[in-house]
Amino acid sequence: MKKFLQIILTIIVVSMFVSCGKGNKIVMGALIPLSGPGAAVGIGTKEGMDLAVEEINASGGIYGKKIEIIYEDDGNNPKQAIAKVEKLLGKDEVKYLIGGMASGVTIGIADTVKNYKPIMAWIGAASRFAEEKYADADWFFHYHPWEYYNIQSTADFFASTGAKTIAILFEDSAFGSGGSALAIPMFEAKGFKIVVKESFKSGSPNFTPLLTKVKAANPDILYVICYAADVIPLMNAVKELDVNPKLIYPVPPAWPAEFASMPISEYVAQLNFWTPDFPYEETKKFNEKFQKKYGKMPVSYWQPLGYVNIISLAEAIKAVEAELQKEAGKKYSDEEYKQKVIQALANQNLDTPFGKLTFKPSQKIKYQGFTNWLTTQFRKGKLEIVFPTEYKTADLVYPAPKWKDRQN
Amino acid sequence: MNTFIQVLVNGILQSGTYMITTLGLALAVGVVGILNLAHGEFLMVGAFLSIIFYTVFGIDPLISILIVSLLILLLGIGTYKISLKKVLDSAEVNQLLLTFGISIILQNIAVLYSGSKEVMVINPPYRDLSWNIEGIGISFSKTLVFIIALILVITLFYILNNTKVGKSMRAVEQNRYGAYIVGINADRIFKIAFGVSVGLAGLAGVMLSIILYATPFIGFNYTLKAFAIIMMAGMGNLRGILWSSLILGIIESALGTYVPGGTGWSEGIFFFIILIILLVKPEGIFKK
Repeated sequence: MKKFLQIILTIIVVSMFVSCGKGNKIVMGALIPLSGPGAAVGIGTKEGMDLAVEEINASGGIYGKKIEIIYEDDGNNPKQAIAKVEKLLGKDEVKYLIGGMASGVTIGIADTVKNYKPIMAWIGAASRFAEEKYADADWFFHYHPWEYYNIQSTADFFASTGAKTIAILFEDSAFGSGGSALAIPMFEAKGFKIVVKESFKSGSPNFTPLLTKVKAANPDILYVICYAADVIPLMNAVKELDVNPKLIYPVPPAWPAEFASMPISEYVAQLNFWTPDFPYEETKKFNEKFQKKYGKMPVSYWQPLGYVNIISLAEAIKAVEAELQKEAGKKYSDEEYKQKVIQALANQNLDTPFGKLTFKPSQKIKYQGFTNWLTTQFRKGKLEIVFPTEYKTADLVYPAPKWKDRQN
Repeated sequence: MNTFIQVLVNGILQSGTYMITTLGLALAVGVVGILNLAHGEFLMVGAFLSIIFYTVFGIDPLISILIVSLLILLLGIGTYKISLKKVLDSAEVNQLLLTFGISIILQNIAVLYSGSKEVMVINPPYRDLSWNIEGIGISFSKTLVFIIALILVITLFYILNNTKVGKSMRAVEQNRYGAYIVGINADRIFKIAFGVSVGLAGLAGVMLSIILYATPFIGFNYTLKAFAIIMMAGMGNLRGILWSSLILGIIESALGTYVPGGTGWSEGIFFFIILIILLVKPEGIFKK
């Protein structure tokens, strides 16, 4: 009997410590791909998130409460993601669901997430179908621009060059096919003639057949919706076959880090959500902090986006905690607290490495964060902003010199 | 006319990549009968090692190619001794399961190594060198891959037909116990054949690091295509590998250029041809 009482007492004491611990920290559940084909993006996102958490906790947390992230690997697979999100929201009882990458995963978990209605601060997904899934969710905050923002921005840029014809190559998964289905009518509406539209399998080692076709069509612009792995073989083949459009415009979600230093990158233009050369003070600060922690420069926008994800959410929570600090003894119910955080996020006006972050309605959802895209051009290993004019750091080189006229 | 010649050149150069990535597996599957699903992952490790030698030690891939091939050969021998040897006498499905497991392990080690880098690339000075002859583009590095592949096919063909170790490999494949009775150490032959097979995969990986890139998942597609080429060539038929690669390379190139949406079709056609061959002439279409 004595032993039984000891066990019960131990359990009570331990659970008291555990609950004290929960009260002293803010737990967020991050769903990102840490294995499989999307792992590089997920690992990059995690680096940004870890940097933000370290920074906040080192400065004492949010009024003494440390931030803790439970990472779950969605494997870039909707089925796996549903199980992981159920674990985060059901078993771990997290109130904040963060991260995200693939549109397919975002669509796949929608019904599960709607059962719990957490505050979902989501940095992934660009597909308009994902947007439709969360149209009625007033707890869904989306940071990444939707795909129509980037196509519109691209069409505006192309129109500014005076180009008339476009060849479109797109990878054949949802990303490339969906993007091209949206892009082609928008380009045609702007008066462009599409002279080649061809799909390919991402990771295909052989671009020469497609580019032989492009060479014969002689377009003004070569627009390629592809992944990072495709960029270098594509450009090698463009040079090998002496294909000379006036502008080459690939749009991978991330670039191979080495590409900028390769001579084939010169004059290649692209739509950009972020570059380490952005002219904002917060960009410089982020680069320095990232370099200090990891000993390298960020290689894609997912690293600063992971960072902004945490900083933005933490700022909103901090605003609510500040209200509680003002009046001793004041308490909010869970639902009141959640609504206060939603309100703080909705009113956010935050300086970030991407520029100002505010949430406004998009075509379908209530809270859309970033919408701006810039066009940049590789120039001597650096990305120069060439469009829109208000952000310009250099003039666009158009038409790009023919391969035979280049030194390299 | 220029486009047609370019299509032929593209196809021939592409066949070099198919030859070099298939040769090792052709030795393992076709000659000594080891079903190695991790072939593409050994190739991927070769590509990663080539990139490491270049970025960390500054050694050009054309120099490190011998070191990398040797290292992968030793890795292959180690893999054989630790694991593969134990399943050779059991059902073939065990070889498939084991090598599939090895492929997953190698992939995940590569994921851990590459971290947030989606693609690993090197840029040796000759990477994007090309000639333009009368409007026909010819890549230096792809030409190099084609020549090396051709030399390897001829060398391996010679070794298998004219050396003691080569003849022993063929004997072991034909009848392991018969070979044992006439004094051939089958275990040693399997060990050498598997080692050389993955060593060749490593060598192909080095060449891929020059013309393409490395990712943890680059190997799988090459394993699939290599199996398809071996089926078309006929088991153990190295000359057939050469012709199959050429035919498939040129078909792929022509479809991609002349047929709307042809690049998507070329992958399908690739495996459709294999299906027809398996149904009509399962021993392969080329004479040994």
